Amino acid sequence: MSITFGVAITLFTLSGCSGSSNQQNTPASADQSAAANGFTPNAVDNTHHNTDTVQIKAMAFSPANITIAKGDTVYWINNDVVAHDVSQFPDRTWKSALLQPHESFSRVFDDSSSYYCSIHPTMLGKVLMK
Amino acid sequence: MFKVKTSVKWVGALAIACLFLAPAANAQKLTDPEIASVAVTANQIDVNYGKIAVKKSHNADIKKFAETMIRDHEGVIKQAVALVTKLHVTPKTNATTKSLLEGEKKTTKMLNSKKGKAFDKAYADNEVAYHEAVINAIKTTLIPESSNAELKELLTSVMPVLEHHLHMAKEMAAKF
Repeated sequence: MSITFGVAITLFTLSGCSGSSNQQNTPASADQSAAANGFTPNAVDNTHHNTDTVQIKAMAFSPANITIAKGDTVYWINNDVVAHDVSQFPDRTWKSALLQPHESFSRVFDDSSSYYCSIHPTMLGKVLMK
Repeated sequence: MFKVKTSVKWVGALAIACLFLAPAANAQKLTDPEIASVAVTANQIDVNYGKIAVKKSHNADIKKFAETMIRDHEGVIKQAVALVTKLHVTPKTNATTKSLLEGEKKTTKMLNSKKGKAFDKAYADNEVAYHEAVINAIKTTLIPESSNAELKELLTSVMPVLEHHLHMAKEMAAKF
C-alpha cells in the first residue's frame, strides 16, 4: 500500500508541477487506489505548497469544506458511479471538464472559492483560506 | 382539481411500482444474473425516456434534466456491464425484466401522445413515480437478494444517485 501511495504522490508531483496551467484533468488510476482507501495525499512540491484531496462520492464532495494555505493545490477525484464536474459557484469562472468515474482534476488556489457540480447542482463545496 | 391531479399521480406511481413488485410477489428469490438484468433494464428505460424528452420538449429545464438522466443512467449501465463482465455473469431476462419492458411500452406510448406543457408535465410526473419505484425495488428486493458482494456494493452506491434524481424530479414536477 505504501508503494502505491508513493507512486501516486510521484505521479501527481510530476503532473501537477509542470507547465504554467494551474488546473488539470487527469486519469487517476494510481491516485484512486490511495484515495479510495482513505489516504489523503499531502504531497509537498519544490515550492512547499501542499496538496489536499476532495473525494467525490455518493453525490457529495467530501470534505465539503476544505481549508488550505494560499498557493496550495486542491485535488478532486471522482470515486462515484456517475460523471461529475467541479465548477466555480455560481458563475463557473473556473471549471473542470466532465470527470468520469476514476478521473481527477486539480487546481491551485490563491483565494477562497465556492464550487458545485453543474450537473447535480445540490452538490456544493468550499475552498477556504487559512 | 387538486384531488384529481393527486389521484392521477398516485395511480401512475402505483402502476409503476407494480412493474417491480407484482412479478416478484409470486416468484422465487432473484438470482444475481436476474438482478443484473433488472438493474440494466431499469436504467436503460430511463435513458430511453430521457431521449424522448430531449427530442420532444421545448422546455430548457426538462431538456437539461433529461440529459442528466441519460448521462447518469448510461454511466450506471457502463459500471454494471463492467462488473458482470468481470464476474463472468450473463444478465438473465426474467419476469421483472419483462414487466418493466411492458411498462416502458405503455409509458412511451403515453408520452408520445402528448405535446408541449402536457408532455413536460407527464414526463416530470413519470420521472418522480419511476424513481420512487426503482428506489423501493433496489432497497427491498435487489440489494437484499443479491449474493455477490460487489453487485450488492454497486447497487448500494447507485442509491444516492437515484435519491438525487428523485429530488430533482420532484422539484421539476412542482413547476407544472
